Amino acid sequence: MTLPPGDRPADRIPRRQALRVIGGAAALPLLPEELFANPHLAHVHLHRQEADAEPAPLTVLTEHQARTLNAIAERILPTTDTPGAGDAEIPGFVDRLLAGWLPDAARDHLLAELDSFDARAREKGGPFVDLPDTGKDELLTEAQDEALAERNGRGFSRNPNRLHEQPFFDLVKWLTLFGYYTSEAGMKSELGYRIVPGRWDPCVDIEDA
Amino acid sequence: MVQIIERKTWDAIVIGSGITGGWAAKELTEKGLETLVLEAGPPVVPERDYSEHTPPWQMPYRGLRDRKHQAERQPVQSRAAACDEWSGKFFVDDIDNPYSIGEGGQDFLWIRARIVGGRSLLWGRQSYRWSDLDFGANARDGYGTDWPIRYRDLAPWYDHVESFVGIAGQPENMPQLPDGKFLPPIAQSCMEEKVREGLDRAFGGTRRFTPARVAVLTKHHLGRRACHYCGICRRGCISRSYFSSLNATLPAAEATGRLTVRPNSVVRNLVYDEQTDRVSGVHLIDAESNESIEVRGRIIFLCASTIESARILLNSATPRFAEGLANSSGQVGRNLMDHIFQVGANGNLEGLEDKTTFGRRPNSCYLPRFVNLDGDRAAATREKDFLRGFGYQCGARRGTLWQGGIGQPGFGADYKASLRGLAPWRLGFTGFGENLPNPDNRVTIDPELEDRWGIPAARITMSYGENEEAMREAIQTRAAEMLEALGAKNIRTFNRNSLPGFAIHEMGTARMGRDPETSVLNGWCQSWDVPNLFVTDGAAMASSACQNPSLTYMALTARACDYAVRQMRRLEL
Repeated sequence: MTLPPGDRPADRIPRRQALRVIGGAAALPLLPEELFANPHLAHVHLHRQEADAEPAPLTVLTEHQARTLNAIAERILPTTDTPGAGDAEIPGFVDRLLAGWLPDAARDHLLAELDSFDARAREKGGPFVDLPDTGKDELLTEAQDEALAERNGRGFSRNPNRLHEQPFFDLVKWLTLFGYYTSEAGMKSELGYRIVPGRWDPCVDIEDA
Repeated sequence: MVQIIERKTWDAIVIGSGITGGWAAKELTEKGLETLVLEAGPPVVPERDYSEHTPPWQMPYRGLRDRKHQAERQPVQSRAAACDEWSGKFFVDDIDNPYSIGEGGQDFLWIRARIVGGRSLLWGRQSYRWSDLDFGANARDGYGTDWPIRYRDLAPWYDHVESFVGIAGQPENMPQLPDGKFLPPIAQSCMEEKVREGLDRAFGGTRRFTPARVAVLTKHHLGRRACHYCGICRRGCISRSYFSSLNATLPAAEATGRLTVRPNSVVRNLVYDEQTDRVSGVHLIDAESNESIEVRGRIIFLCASTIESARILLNSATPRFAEGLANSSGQVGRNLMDHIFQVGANGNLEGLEDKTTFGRRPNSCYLPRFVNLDGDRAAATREKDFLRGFGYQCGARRGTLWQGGIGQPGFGADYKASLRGLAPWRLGFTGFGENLPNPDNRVTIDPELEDRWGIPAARITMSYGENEEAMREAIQTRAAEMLEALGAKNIRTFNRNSLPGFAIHEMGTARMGRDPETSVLNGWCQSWDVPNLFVTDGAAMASSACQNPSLTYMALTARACDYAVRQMRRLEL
């Protein structure tokens, strides 16, 4: 992660740096030529620090809520020949949304619904994370059916100010989809994403892309 | 009020470090002038601040943006697509940098970057020459005043800047979009090749679907590396493959040993000397210390961007120029233009289901203007409902299926498998249309509002008129008829009625002209009133054409620098 929450992007360009530019030979530093020769090296240079960073601790979700969320995500997009959403660091992503992104109403809605969903699992024999896959899928199917009925033909709205109106299943499914396909596991393994493709080919067979 | 007066007199002071300020810095220093560049914002250090290789999973909100911060501090800037979670830091804080909307005007979106390099770090890189269809437009239909130059005056300067910038492009031999000094084009996708052939067939070669001409290197060029197709130029470019002040012109200027960049220098006004009838310097506020400082120079290049340059001139009123410096014509601030856009059509194309592209290119395609042409072609291309014309940015691509996944029922392994793969090819056309010059569309100074540094803020009054309305209709119909001719399915037209300013092609507030009574600048971007003052950003434009304007700003700047230095050497400045 490049930015701790609360570190405003506007603050990332230190104004102090400015004075050094005036009249100094240090202005506009250029990378050594050999670094340009290989875009991958330039990438490594840029992101060395991030690679070593520890995942941030949870600030809103409890450990149990985080594990529940991860287990739901893994059933929505399970591990197959590629990693599943359980490998996509979705609890950390959702925790940051809860802490600094979601409107209060959506935050309260998601947390309350997550707990009541887990309470229903307990009625079926244990917390959601301890249910067998078939039990998990039964509960999720129920939640999906309820969401369908609740929406009554309306589509899902991504508008932050409408998220508290979205049924729990849809909300958690959207967070899972978005979280997975923007994660390292999802982008690299499932989407074949390369940060630096290195070339443009205007016509390739789909399996080679 | 001015507390510190620096003793040194610079040969030249350039206000702004964006695409034109960078060019002025390069040209003036290379011609031997000790040059000071004033930039309102902080420096950008590529190794620290560029983020094009930072993937979504390393961002706190995975690309969903710092929503609360943007709502609070960047309500205007965040309307721009480029003001995303990565690049939002390059855009201004709207609370520190306010402006107002004049009575009767539409909302105007003033999108700005106050950083060393300015908006050249964020631009779309589209680089098109204008032609005499454009430079002759005002004279032909009577809107605005005649440009004092024609294509032949600017052609060598287009050559000059293109040779340095490096433009990937394909020659097409079309009079309305002159060819330039191109690097190899970025090849069109196999579907786009079919589109090109199909349109050539259906419209007799009049609607030419060409690779977009962009300021991105397709081979190593003057010490900068070829593009590596990571695809998100607006976040920076560590290999310097796309053109910006920071990647190209400022380093060239610095190599002369005659460049000084002074960041965090918010210009309050120009200082006019009644004795000599010249600008003697610039009064700035240090953004960090809030000190008032005056710097002195022999010539001044105002390259602060269209609206900011007008604001500076209007804030520089003197007893002789009570309505704003260099404003004896009363035209400073008037004739503000932008391009209409966010209007067009798209549709699905069948075939080539087993093909796609590899890499993320920094461009797409372009379809040059084909309406209201001049010369032999004129009659056949005449549109009865509007004057002037439009071009399209366009392209055919395949989206990923997961993005529509929330609309698909289900979950589990089969569901995951169903989201794999690519959507059908979709061909889209987005029009960019010319905006007629209108003296009532203007920048003035708000009588009360001030920015964070106590500088009177701009008030912007601008509305699109009937000509733009009619053009929006035609942009949709003409795009739809091309999609029909190609056999596209599921054709949809769209018109989001883009607000003025939103194309971020604002121009025209200190127009060039032939007559000091009706224009601010002469044919060299030189103030009629104050001979050592040059304005070479978008403010100088007398009309808007429909092509992206940055390349023309660059050529005008280089040409003005050449003229200014020749005049200085003859002791005429």
